[in-house]
Amino acid sequence: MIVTTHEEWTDLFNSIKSESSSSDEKHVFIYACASDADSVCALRILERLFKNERVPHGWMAVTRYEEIEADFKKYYEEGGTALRTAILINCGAAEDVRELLHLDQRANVRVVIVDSHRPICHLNNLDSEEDNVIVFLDEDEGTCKADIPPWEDAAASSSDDEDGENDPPAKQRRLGALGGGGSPGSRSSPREERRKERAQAEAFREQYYAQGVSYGKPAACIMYDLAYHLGQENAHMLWLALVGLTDHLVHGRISGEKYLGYYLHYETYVSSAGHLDFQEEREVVDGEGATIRNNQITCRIMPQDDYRFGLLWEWNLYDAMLYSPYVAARLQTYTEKGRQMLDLLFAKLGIPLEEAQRSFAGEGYDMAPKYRHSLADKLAVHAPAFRMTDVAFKSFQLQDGLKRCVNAVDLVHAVTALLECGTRKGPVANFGDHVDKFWRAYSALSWGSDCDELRRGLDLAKKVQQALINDGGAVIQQKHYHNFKQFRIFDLSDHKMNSQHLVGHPMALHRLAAFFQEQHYQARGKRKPVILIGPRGGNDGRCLVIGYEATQRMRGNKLGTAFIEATERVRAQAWHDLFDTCIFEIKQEDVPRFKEELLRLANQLLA
Amino acid sequence: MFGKQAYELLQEVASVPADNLPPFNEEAFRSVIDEVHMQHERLTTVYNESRERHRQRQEEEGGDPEEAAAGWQGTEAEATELMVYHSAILRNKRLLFTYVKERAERIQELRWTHRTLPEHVKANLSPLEQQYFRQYDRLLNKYCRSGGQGVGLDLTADPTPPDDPYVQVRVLRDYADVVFSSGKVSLRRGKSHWLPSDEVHPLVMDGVLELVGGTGGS
Repeated sequence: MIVTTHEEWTDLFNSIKSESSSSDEKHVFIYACASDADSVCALRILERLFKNERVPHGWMAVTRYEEIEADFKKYYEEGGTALRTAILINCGAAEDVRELLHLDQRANVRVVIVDSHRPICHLNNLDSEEDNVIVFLDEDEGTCKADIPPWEDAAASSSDDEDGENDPPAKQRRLGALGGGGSPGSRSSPREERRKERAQAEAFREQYYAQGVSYGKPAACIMYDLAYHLGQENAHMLWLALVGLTDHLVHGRISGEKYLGYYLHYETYVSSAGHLDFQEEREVVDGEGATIRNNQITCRIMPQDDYRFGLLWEWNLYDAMLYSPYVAARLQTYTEKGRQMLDLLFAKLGIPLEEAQRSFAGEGYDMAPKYRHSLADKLAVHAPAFRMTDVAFKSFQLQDGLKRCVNAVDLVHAVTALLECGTRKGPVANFGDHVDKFWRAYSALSWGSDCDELRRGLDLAKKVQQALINDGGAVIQQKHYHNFKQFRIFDLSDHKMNSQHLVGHPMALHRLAAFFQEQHYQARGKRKPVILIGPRGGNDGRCLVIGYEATQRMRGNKLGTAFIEATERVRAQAWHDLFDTCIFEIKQEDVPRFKEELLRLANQLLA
Repeated sequence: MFGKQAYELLQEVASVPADNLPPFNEEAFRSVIDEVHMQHERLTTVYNESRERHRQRQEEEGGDPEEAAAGWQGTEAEATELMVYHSAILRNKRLLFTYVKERAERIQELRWTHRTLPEHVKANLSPLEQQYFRQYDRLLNKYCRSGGQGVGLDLTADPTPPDDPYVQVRVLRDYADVVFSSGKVSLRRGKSHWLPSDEVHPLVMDGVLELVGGTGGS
């Protein structure tokens, strides 16, 4: 069942609440995807809601379906009777959850999905109150419930004896999109008519899946909206929702206009509820007991224009620009010539290089305020000459008195870095230790008691940015890519990166792929999908493969389908069980064959 | 020195630990009251004398004695003397009040923590204080009883209620499935749970669980 209206959302939440309190098994369990900052934010909002309502709950960070499955098998006994609820954050919408988690044998378990992955698997779209798979969808994001093909009646499909394949799994169905539409017969008998209808439904489905993979409303925003309609929203939740939204922007999951739409929507909330003051209670010695002292605003969310160089506020202007994919793609700052261009830009901006290398907003010997204040105007005048036309964008900032402030963008970088980067000593692409990383990211987002994780995350994020441009620039200069008509392949499977422990993770590779695409676009004026085969991971010899296509044109990413097809045709050893179809792992030995097959498929696919 | 006796009286109570009481020092209490009476006497005499002098001065100057009676106009020295007596009285009064209040509060506190008065404390109470305790005891019992105006709960059982009956914990190592009052929970490394705080306490001691702070905000 797909729930779209606010009433349905709040009804669902209230029914979870009342079921939990009347059941013997009160625990509501949340499985949160451990790969993006959005999930951490959504989790924190949902947790706060449960805490407010005194619903006992627990959560666990997961990176692949196997983990959910294993935990489900252990924890939810088959044929149990007590009503229970499991919640999936940022995973599950694109898969047939019913089949995956064997819900047929667990009729007492209800699975609620809050996921930004699109398309939503049509097998989850069953219009029935008793359905135990429930997907959150906000129709404002552009996808309507009516756009999703309905789950057809099992009885109807089995009555049609000619159709042998009864409910194929979602993956195969998606592949069906490649084969071309079925040809409906023209004779008309009752059975033929039914077949015709089925053929139509089939065509509708194929068309639906042929759009490719995209992303919907960030999970954190959906959770905030839920809190809003429950009347329990607070400024912290709002901030988390904004971070979730910014996460989608930073990782290219949302188009510019869409972001602006959300921005304007949330700006009204920010101006009305953006203060995070705690009312301070203090015993007054000679008065009438305790009084509430709340005379200054200490902590608040502010709308703030930010630049496309991430981490500027935590860094210095020179490094932030030098190591930002946005500037690097335009000026080639990884080359000597590019650096000269950057120096020239600084000259035009009237900022001495020495000043630019001082910390931007730190204390002590930071950049002189006169340069900082005039930066926005100067950039608006001079940056377009350097092909940086949209250098500023609207964002938010959290200010905590005079002590510290952090920008949403920087926070996203920090949290993502914490989620992905282990230590140099640890295994490079090991997914087993994601729980600890997730915990670090989780505590970095708790304003006030983050145990300094935020600071560490910001430092780590700077290193990631540096590594991204250094290693990425080296790849471009050494021409480690193949340029084809439809796409470009960067094969780094036997390439040694200097800071693989920082870059060799899905989100970082994602940004790297985006950087390659942007660089190519700036150099050649053409935007081609990028397929990035990451460096070989630690011990198991697997390579991460990322398919990246900019979402600017509001088209889905179709590379995922091609990946599955290609690996199946060459029988490569591959693991498609990450939550994103455009990211998967493949054995290093199979990489050459996989590439060949992909090329063969390309004409058919990406026409 | 003014107020010294009362101060020493208060010191008697303050130097004794909170769950005990020194005998009610009737003698010192009375002598402080005497001191106040003495100060009051002095105050009135100084005032009257000063008024008398003032009236005489007025007459010598040939003014209207009726007019002078309307207000008091003393010299600076007289005013200072009056002020000293006045504040000394207030201070003594305040110290005595504090003495009585502190004792009453301790008696109340003992009712909450010990339910009854320990014998060694009981011997030290004045008859009025004993009466106070009996009445307080009756009131509290009535409030804790179920029915009519009572809450039906022994509030003295846990004088400091926990902030939150539930706590968030992080599981540090794999452990068996545990049945809590809120249902069965599988404790696997890296999971987070929100559990009844009194039930998780032993597991926290064993190092299986870790309490997650962060009560501020969301």
